[in-house]
Amino acid sequence: MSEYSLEVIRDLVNRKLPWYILKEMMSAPKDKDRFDKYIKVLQEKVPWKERILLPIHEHLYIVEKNGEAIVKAKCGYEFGDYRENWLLKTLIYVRDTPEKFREVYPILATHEPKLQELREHICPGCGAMLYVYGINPGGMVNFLFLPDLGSFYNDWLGKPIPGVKDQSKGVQDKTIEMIKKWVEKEKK
Amino acid sequence: MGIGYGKKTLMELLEEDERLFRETKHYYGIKELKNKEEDPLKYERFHSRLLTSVIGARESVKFVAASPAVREYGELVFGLYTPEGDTVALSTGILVHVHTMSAFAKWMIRNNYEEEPGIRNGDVFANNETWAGGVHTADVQTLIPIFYRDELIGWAGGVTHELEVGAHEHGSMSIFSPERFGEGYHISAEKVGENDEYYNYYLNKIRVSSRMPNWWIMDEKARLAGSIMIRNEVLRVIEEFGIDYYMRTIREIIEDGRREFLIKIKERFVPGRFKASGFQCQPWKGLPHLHPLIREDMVNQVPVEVNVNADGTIHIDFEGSSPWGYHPYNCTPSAMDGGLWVTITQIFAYDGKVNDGAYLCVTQHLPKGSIVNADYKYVATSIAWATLIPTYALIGSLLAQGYFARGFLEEVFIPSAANSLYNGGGINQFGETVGLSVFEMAACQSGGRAVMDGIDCGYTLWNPESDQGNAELWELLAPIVYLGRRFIPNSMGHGMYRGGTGWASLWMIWNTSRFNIACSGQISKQPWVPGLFGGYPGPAWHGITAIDTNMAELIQKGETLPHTFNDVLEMVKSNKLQAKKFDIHNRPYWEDVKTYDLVGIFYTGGAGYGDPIERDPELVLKDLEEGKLTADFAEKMYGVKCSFDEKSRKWVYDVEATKKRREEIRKERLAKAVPAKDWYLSEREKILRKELPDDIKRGLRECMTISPKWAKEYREFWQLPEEFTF
Repeated sequence: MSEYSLEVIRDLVNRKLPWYILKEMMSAPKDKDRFDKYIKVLQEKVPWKERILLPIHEHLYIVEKNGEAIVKAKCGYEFGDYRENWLLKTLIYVRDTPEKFREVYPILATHEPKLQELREHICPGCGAMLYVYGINPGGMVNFLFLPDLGSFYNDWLGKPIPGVKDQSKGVQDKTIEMIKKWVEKEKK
Repeated sequence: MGIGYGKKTLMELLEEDERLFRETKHYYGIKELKNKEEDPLKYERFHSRLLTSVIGARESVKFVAASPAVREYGELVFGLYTPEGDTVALSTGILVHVHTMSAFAKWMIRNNYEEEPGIRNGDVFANNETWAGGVHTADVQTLIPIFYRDELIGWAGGVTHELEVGAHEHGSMSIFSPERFGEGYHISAEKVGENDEYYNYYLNKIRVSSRMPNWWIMDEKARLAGSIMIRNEVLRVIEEFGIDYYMRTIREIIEDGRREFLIKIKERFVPGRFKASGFQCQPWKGLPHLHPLIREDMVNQVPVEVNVNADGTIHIDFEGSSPWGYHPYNCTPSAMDGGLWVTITQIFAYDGKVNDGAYLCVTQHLPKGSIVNADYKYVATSIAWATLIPTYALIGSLLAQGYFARGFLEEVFIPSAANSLYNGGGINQFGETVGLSVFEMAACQSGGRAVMDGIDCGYTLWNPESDQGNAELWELLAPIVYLGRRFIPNSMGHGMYRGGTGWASLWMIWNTSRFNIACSGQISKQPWVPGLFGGYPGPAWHGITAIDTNMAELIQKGETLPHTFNDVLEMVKSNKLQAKKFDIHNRPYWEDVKTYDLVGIFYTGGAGYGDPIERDPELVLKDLEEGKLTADFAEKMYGVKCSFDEKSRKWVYDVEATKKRREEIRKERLAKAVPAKDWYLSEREKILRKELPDDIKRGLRECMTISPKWAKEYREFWQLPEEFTF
């Protein structure tokens, strides 16, 4: 079984590992304590104190704050309840004209903005690009990854979700409840 | 009394196999890996022998084959199966077909081939029908039974991709056939030989059904030779280990594979739900040479929901997929199972005991009547790959988030979608009939990874042993001359780690009296696989043709010739290159070409990983040096202020100016974007007013009709009235 020092995992996160070690990591059986070391390294790197429960993106973490699990960006911006689709709390820029497509693709590329738009989701806190995807106009914003935090910690890691009151298991999507409130408020 | 192991019928064995798994949740009811525990070294040696037999078969028979598909870019795979058709061991190669052969064996068992036409030692069975386990006509399966004494104890088989199947418009995959009738020679789960030899009728049928029968026949021989090699090795293994040990251990190996899979999932992933939607449009309307059944632009979506369950199993749901249509992009369950197989063997089950054990841990919901489970009897599936490959690439990209969350950054990988297909046919430079699909696309680009850029020119999802074939070989096979084969600058999905760079070939048609090129133009309107964590998707496809050119004159005068797309554009602009008809294609085409015409083929880049302005500037300089990026893109996409230093003849960048530019880009993004909530509310209004393009509305309406469940989800997301439809 492989085991890597905290320094090696730190170098992995900071993209400092040479290819021959990366290759070895790919080929070797996985190290059992990777997650713990990974969280430790990530926690060192963020400028805030909330405990990281699960990294879900280069810039985003599910963290524990006041007994709740919320999504928090590296820059400190808070997206709220992790069970609500964080993409709907970003800033969005939609490329929907040939000119806007040409800014990011070579001149010959022949996207058809009428049939497809390119959505860019941006972190409101720091302007980081968070997610870019092509989709038909009228397409839904998918919830990319909604972890079952309760099962992950309690069943897979064998410990409760640190500091979080709600230990319930299963995937719980609260996005529609959030959207309903937006629409109701708008109607008023 | 049956022909199967223990004198049971094959159907009895298959039913027992399925019943035991259903009742015990263990493969074949095996709760203890007795042989493994008693003598692990013997067990591993046994497994290695089986693995060697399939890999050895693949590597050896490449040299029996004559077709470029097999010899040049390795479009073949071999597998070993239990008597019931479950996969025990597989070779490298086009892994999709490990499972399709399993489906073929089970189809024959379920349809009582044991009685009619009978299954005997030395018999040879072949298939390329979707309803009997195939994907499309091009992928031809050979299966032979393995008998020990007088009992069938397994199957050995191989698949190769035939480059010329006698389809409507030449090549291996028909682009313009709306139904199965133009797809070429169908082999309908047939007994095609006995005593280890093919029947003459079968070989004769191939001779008159393909424009390149010699390639196909030699591939037949390669498949059969490989299958016999596996069979012979299995019999040697049985002599050494004993039949009881063999039968018990092949089943233990599968159960072992199943357990390993569950352990890996819990070790490397996070339980939860992953969701995205693939979308594909194909502008058919108004194309010349089109069958009247294809009358509308194709607008297809394939929503994907992957649930990684708390017990480590995985369920994939495609609810809401568009209905099947009169086009070649339809899939059947066997094709989707093949896609699943190639995905799980790349993402999860790439080492240890790779077999049907992994497959038993993953279930799929393929809505009947949809593009992922077409139920029309005469459905066309010749380019099923154009649906299933991007779909599973999307699944791979979603699951990469699981690896990221657990800290296994070295495993985070964005697969990439299939590129456009080129079929050519007519009279070759030797005055003979020729037809083929040019399979350069077998070496395209992967998406970026969490620790490095995507692979340039060396990846396809369907065949991890990717190879584009030598240009010289394609020149030998078709009346074409390569003027260039180069990377296209800026044609990757940008990112902190960019996707693989797109590349293009430029052909001059040479020495033919009659030739045509048909191009599928898929992904011509949109990238399918998104970027990850802020990286961009790769660009859409495009192609060029220049017909009736002055190339003969340019060559005669010793003028500079075009070698790249850009050269062609520049020379057309300056009128140096003249063409009576010059097109930049953004949809499928079928073009009559002749000597001195130019055909430009583009293979788009992979999706990017991470925010491009977080890319190491040194990597940006490297791309500039290698001609994969231009300075304007270096600045606008990566925020790198760079210049070419004439003295050192190298690209350099200004550290402070780069830092400043990147800060500016962040501010520009914040300034031009709007809160997603505001965007959502305004989009909702547009949808309520049905202000979407007609084709999109039709596509969404079809999905809402075929799937009330998806319609409910769509209405709920946009908070639309219950009766709302487009």
